[in-house]
Amino acid sequence: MSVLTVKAIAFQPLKQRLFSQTPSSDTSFEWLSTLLVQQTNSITSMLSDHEQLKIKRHFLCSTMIDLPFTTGDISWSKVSAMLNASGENQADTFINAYECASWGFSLRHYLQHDQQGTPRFLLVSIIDANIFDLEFWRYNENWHESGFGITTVLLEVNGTITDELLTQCASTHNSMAEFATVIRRHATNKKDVTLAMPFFPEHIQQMFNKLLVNQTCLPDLHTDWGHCFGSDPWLSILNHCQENPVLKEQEFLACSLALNGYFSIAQVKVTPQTQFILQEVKGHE
Amino acid sequence: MSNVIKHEYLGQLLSVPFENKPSAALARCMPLSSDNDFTVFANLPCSDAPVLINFIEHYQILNELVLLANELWPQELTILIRISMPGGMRLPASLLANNVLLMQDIQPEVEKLTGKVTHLLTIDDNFIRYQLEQGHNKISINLHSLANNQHVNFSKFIAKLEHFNIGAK
Repeated sequence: MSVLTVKAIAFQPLKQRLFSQTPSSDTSFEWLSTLLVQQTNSITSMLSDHEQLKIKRHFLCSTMIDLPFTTGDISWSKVSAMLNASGENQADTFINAYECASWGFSLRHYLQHDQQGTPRFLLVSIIDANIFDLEFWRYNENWHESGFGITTVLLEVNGTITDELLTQCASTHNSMAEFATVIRRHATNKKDVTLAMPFFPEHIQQMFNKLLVNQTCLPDLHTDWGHCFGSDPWLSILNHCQENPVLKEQEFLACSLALNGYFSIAQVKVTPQTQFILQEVKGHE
Repeated sequence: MSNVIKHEYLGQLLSVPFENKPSAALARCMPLSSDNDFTVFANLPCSDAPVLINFIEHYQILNELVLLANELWPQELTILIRISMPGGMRLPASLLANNVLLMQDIQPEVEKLTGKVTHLLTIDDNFIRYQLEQGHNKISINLHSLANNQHVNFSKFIAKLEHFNIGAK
């Protein structure tokens, strides 16, 4: 069984348009930071004081939030200060270089430097929000409709990681097919593992279905949610486990693929105690 | 931490990094369609520093620096690199290796890892690769090391920067 246990997944859906009029980046990030802090607190408040002390890291990842930082409209130190003014265990490092696979690479970094033998917790949040309400991010020929939201996953690491986490980059330019093939090879020796794949339009789903015909996959939710970037596999697990309450431990392969070919695949365990929180959608329209 | 020795370098990209070599025009702008798209882009801040480098050249420099660092410190080296997105193209394999972390702002990780890893190399550049990017073409390179004889290696590493027209501030 995987030594990575999902203790909680929360998803805060965001509307395409966040505000009636696009405010300053400072105001946008104040609003988003409040939502992220609330989400983090809703998860950590379920833990005992003793368990909260075991939280070692909180990474914030994104695929499409870059323009406010790149153009110098806002700095990460400012956003970090907004988050960390609100108490313990808030996100402190922002990673978007690996696009939709950023959550896996941040997890790899943590595990690389993790010297502790005792069970410990870490938080990974994924935020994708159309801060400037740009058309490019509403719909894109690569993934069609986008879905926006904030996800926070609380993971427990209990033991030594062996092959639970795969972070790689495609070596070909057909990264979709290569990604599916890597998943197939990786899943071959694993029993009773269900795949939680990224959400893509019909033609890409068909390719995944054909290449992963012998694997069990959770349904693609692109029609319901659009492509929610790095959040997809976590939203997929959340959705499935809310509809089918977890009666005994189950294992999933959370899989994310970035446009530039980076991918993250994590084998995680869900238990009857895992908390799933689907929040009410926020934003303008 | 008292047992950590810090080596510091502050430099500047002085001109194009690869003189007399053609440079691909890779700068792109996302397609703009709605009135709001144009309003947003018209109001974004911008730098007055010259654009001297493109994505390929930037990644080529980082790739060569990371490969050299891996040679100079073959064991127990952790590298933190500031990368501003969008990336424009696929990153070289050396930057995706598991002793490297790429992020928007390296400071939080520097604070966490200084003194925890034997050699912590940080590469923090603000080279502008297209018109909308903010920065002044500066680069800051630091080594936080628990070993006390790293001066020669650090100097060898910094010497490499001259090849790319990067000079000390």
